Amino acid sequence: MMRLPTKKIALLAMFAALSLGIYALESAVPNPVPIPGIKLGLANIITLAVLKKYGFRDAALVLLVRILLSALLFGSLMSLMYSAAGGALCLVGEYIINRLLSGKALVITGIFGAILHNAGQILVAFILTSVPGVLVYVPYLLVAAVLTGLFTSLAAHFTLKLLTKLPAD
Amino acid sequence: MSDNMPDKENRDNKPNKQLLTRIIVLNIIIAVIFSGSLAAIILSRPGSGSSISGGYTATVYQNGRVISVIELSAAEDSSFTVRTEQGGTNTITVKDGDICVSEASCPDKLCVKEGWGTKSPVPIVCLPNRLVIVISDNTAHGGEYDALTY
Repeated sequence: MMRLPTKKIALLAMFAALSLGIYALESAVPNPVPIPGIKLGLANIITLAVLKKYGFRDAALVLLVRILLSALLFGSLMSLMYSAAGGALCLVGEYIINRLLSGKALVITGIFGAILHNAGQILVAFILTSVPGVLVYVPYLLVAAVLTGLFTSLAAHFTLKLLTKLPAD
Repeated sequence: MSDNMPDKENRDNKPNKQLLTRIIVLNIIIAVIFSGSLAAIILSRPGSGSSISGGYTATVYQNGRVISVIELSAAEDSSFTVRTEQGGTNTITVKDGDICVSEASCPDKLCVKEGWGTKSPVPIVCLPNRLVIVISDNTAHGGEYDALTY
C-alpha cells in the first residue's frame, strides 16, 4: 500500500468531493445538445488540475473515487464501465501529453484528454452493441471533444491560478 | 507567470525548441482530427433537400443481431416492446413514417431523450439494453456508413 500523509488524504478527498459535486450538478442540467453522450465533462477540470499540480497517482485516486461514487449514487453498472473506460484512457493520455509538454500548454493536454475520453466511450459502445452503425457517432464525439476539452482545460488552468494557497506537494 | 511547481522536468535546460516542436505537432494533430471530423459530419448529413427523400428504413439491432427491419414510409403506426435476457425493456414506437424509443427500463433513458430517429443524425442507442436503431435513407446509397469512409 502506498502511504499518504493525512494532509494529502484530506486534500485529495476535497478534490474528489469537488469533482463529484460538479459531476452531479452537470448531470442535473438538461443537455442542450441533441446527441446523447456529448457533454462538457466539467468534472475533468478537477482531474486535470490535480494531474498538473500533484501528478498521475493523485489524479488517478481522485478520478477513481469520483467514478465509483458517481456510479453508486446516480448510475448503473453500465455507466460505471462507460465512465471507467473513458476516464482511464483520458487520464493516461493526459499524463503522457503533460509529460511531453513538461507541464506547459495545459490546453493541449486537456483537448487530448477529452478526445481520448470520448474515444474510450465509443469503443465501449461499439464493443457492447457490436453494431458498426454506432461508429457514426465518432466524428460528432471528436468535434465535441476538441471544444469541450478546450473549455475544461482553460477552466483547469484558471482554477490552478486562483488556488494559490495549495500545498506544493 | 511563476509556476511554483516542484520542477522535476527542469533538468533539461534547453527544452524550448523541442517543446515548441511538440506543441506544434500536437496542435496539428488536433486540427486534423477536428477538421476531419467536421468534414465527415458535413458529408454524411442527409442533405438539405430531404423533402425528395425516398423514405427511411429502420434496422433494429439487439446484441449486434438484427431483430427487425422496418420500412418506415410503408409501416403502419405501431408499438412493440423489445426485452433483454436480463429483463430490460425498450418500447419502440413507429408513427407517421418515423421511429423512436418511447419507453425504456434503463436509468438514464438517453434512447428516449434522443427522440425521433429520422430527425437525428446518429443512430438511437440504448447501451444498457444493447439496443441500436440505425436509420438509413433509402435515396442515399448506404448512408449509414458514409461517416466511416474518411
